[in-house]
Amino acid sequence: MIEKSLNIELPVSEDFRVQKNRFLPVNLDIDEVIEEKVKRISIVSGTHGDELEGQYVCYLLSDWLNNNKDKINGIIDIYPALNSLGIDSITRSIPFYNVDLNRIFPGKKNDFLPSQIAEGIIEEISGSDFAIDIHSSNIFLRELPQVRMSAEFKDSLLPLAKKMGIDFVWIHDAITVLEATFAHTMNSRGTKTLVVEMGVGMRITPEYCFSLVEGLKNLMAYLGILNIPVVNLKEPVISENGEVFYLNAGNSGLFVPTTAHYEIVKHGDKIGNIVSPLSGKIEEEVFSPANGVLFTLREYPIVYEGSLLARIFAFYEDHK
Amino acid sequence: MIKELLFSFKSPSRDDLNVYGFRFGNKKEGYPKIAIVSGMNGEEIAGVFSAAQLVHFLQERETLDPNFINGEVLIIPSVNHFALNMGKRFWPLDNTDINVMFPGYDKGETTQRIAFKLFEAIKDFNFGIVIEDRKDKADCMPYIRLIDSNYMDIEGAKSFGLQFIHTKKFEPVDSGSLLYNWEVWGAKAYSIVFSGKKYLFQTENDLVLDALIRFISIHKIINLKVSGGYKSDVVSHENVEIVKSPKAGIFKPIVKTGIQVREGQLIGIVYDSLSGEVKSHIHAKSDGIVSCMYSDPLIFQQTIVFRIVKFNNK
Repeated sequence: MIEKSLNIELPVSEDFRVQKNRFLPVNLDIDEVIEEKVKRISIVSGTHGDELEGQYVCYLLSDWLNNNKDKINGIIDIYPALNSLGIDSITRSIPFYNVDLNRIFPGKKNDFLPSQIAEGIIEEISGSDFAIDIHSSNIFLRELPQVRMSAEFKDSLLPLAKKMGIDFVWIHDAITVLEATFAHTMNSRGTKTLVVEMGVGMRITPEYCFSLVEGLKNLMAYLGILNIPVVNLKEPVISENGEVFYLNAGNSGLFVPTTAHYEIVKHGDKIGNIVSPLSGKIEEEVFSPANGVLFTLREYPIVYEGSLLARIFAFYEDHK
Repeated sequence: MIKELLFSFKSPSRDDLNVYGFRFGNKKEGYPKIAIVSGMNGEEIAGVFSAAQLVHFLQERETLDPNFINGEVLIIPSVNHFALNMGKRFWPLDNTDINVMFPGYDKGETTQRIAFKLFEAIKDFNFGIVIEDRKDKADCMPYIRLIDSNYMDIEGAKSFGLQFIHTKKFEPVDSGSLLYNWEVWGAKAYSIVFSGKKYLFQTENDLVLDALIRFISIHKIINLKVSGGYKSDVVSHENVEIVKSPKAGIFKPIVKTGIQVREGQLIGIVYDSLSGEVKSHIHAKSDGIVSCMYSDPLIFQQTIVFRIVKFNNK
């Protein structure tokens, strides 16, 4: 059932809204569902308007649920477009204000519009037992499907991530600025929230989307929200078992990769060149600093000094 | 005065980003050092203008009297020229905000590196002043903004002689700001906030220039007698009345910033953008001074239209 969950009037003949598709167990209305205390999961996407992988995931999941209503044991809320203005205008931030929605949570009622939107989203989704926040990197970088989490929530989140058939789980240290994200706010308030990053901005990668939908179904089966068998999907690589290497541009120019995304690389392998379209010269050759997996690769070619080109994950035993 | 290239960044196609500082003074022992930074985003035009006017003022005075400046003054009027020169707010390639990247990282992303190089140039000063705008669309009377922490220096902030010192609660996003990192590094740091994203307001610019000159004079960095300015009121969210628009539409203010208003006074009108009918009359909820006002004619429902500093801290 499609519901408007946040409604703010816009200046000229339009409302800002966040919509959700709510799936309930067959033959139960919402009052009965609440009374029986069934579990609730919220699947959100479109916090950044230039990230579209989650759009396709939401479609695929809703399509499956529409055709398998008898398998639903809990409340499944799907929010494809939290930043609805951004999604419809290829705008990462909230248009008009140029504010990154995922840096202003939990938001405030008495603050400017983006902050009110953030507050409204948290109020709407609070009470969920679980949440999945689907991102697609940005327009610059292509990412392997991965779950990211702060170390402080690892104990409660890692067992869930392992049910998702995801390639990689990146556990990072607490970073103060990330406390303003949707996921941190929800985790702090008791909703176990996983952040998925995969693919690249402004595009969809169907094979990643298909894979994530299977992972989400498996997770919901594990949580008792779907009445389907839990299966053994592939185990993720955990970042704590190795080291992430960052490759940043040392020069400005045009980055042309010479290695494909998700390749296994060896220390000293060439990753790409930064070239000058004007001089016709190679400004910098980029090499792998370790043996590992190229799990992030730059998609957008123009780079400045400092632009991230790639990330490589190396297991400690291979890191020589 | 020395115009100094502090650091440079090469662009793939356009001119290099050359960040200049204007360094003044005789570095006399026992006198403090102050750094002033503006133009970290491309909409802080008023801040750039005020900082540039201070450069001009000090240059003229120093030319007349080589002993005019006792300590050291470093002014960096603009950091993000790339955004200023093309009507963007943030770093044009990736839309990231330099002022959330401090203390910076020399091996990180481009704006982290810019923040790092900037911070290396200014971190060891006794005083630091950031001139910045508000994130939202608001015209404000110039005020001093302090983050409520152990580092906050309210007494020092009174030296600017501006009407209000606003203390705000620490939020996670503040951890990457220049203001906060300057404080953590040991400087007495202050943010001057005012309007001017698209237009310059001479009165506000004059107030800010006066405040800067007053501050460096009171701290004996320059040899100049100045008037005392305002006896600043310290305010926080508890004594600022937030007035929101109950409707969306076209907003027309009835009052200006800096104006005293009375409880119940009509201060703004929201019109239906298609029919032209009045959708909402906006009234002041308490006696006070309008410190900030929404600056765009297009208004969203529940947008903050006025901030009124209440009299008597009611």
